[in-house]
Amino acid sequence: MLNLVLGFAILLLFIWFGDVINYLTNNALLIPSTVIGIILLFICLLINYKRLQNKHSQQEILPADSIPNCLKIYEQGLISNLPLLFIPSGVGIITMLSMLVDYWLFLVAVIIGSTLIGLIVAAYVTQKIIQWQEKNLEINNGNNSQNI
Amino acid sequence: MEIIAKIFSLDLLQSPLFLLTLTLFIYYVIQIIYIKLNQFSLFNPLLITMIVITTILYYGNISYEKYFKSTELIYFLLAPATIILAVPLFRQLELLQRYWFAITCGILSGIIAVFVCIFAIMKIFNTSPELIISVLPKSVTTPIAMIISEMLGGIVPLTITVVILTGICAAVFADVVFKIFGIKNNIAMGVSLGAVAHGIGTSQAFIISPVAGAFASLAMGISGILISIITPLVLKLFL
Repeated sequence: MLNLVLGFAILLLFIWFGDVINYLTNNALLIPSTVIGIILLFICLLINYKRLQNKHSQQEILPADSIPNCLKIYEQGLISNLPLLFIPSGVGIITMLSMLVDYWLFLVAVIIGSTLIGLIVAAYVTQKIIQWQEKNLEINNGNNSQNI
Repeated sequence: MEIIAKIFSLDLLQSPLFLLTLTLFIYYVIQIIYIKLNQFSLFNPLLITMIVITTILYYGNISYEKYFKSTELIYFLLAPATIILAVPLFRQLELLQRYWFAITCGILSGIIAVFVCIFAIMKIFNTSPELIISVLPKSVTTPIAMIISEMLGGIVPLTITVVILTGICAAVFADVVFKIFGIKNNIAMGVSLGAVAHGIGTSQAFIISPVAGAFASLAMGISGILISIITPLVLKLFL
């Protein structure tokens, strides 16, 4: 159960690393501390994976296996309850009710329009390129394409 | 509705502890109903919980500052929750290496589409500059959106509202939209949700699948960085 403490401490540590970098570069990178933290944590997970690969060179190790347990225990809990964490900020809408009513048509148009169009475009482009990529591989190798 | 006002005039029921407990129980009940409804998209737990709590605060005459202070513990957890997205992302290492090009193109095209749309609507409605500035960072996660909006002269609380509503809009309509336009690929779904609807979109992506969720968090991070850089430039060019 000490893993609970270690895991949370590590998460906070990486946020702090992000703060450090932003402090040192005076926010010049325009990247928030949390995002820097994700990048750093990802790099550390990668390094850890390589280290384990070298150590157990006879076996096949998947990336997923190299993730420390102290982090695994937080994955499910935090991510599956992400909506809960947005509630305090979300309820903030109550302070903007009058403005929402005034500009409702514009806001509805912008929010629904740009969000849905953005979703469609981004998803379509990604999917099309992946399909094109898989088709090229199929032609080159004669292998079955991966279905994800 | 007067009942709510009467009930909440008791000090005990306005205490920070009670508001926090109430939030948790409401969220729990709504999640149960959501699951019983087979995850019917219009009954999005975040949206419904927000509506319920907003109604209680409104009719119970509880200030938002009071409520936010009470639930600060939950709000604080957003930061570690964001960091731990590195883990599901790392699980997809192989897919990441394989499809990085598609992902980058997807994110870029999504951001461009959103910007074009916003400017088109601006022309149609002939809206004031502050409104546009407030709305431009809508696809980014809230803290960044706040900073961008503030830097460029937008109305910050409005930006936060628009960001949250964007997330909810994507969460509610994503399934339907993907079905209509034949989007089946999990990576594509994740990338679009993360790039266009940031954290709430990522949360929805995880409901679709861990793969979608992982790529949503990646897209969220990248689009956040890109939008921070692009927005000031775009504004200089067009306003």
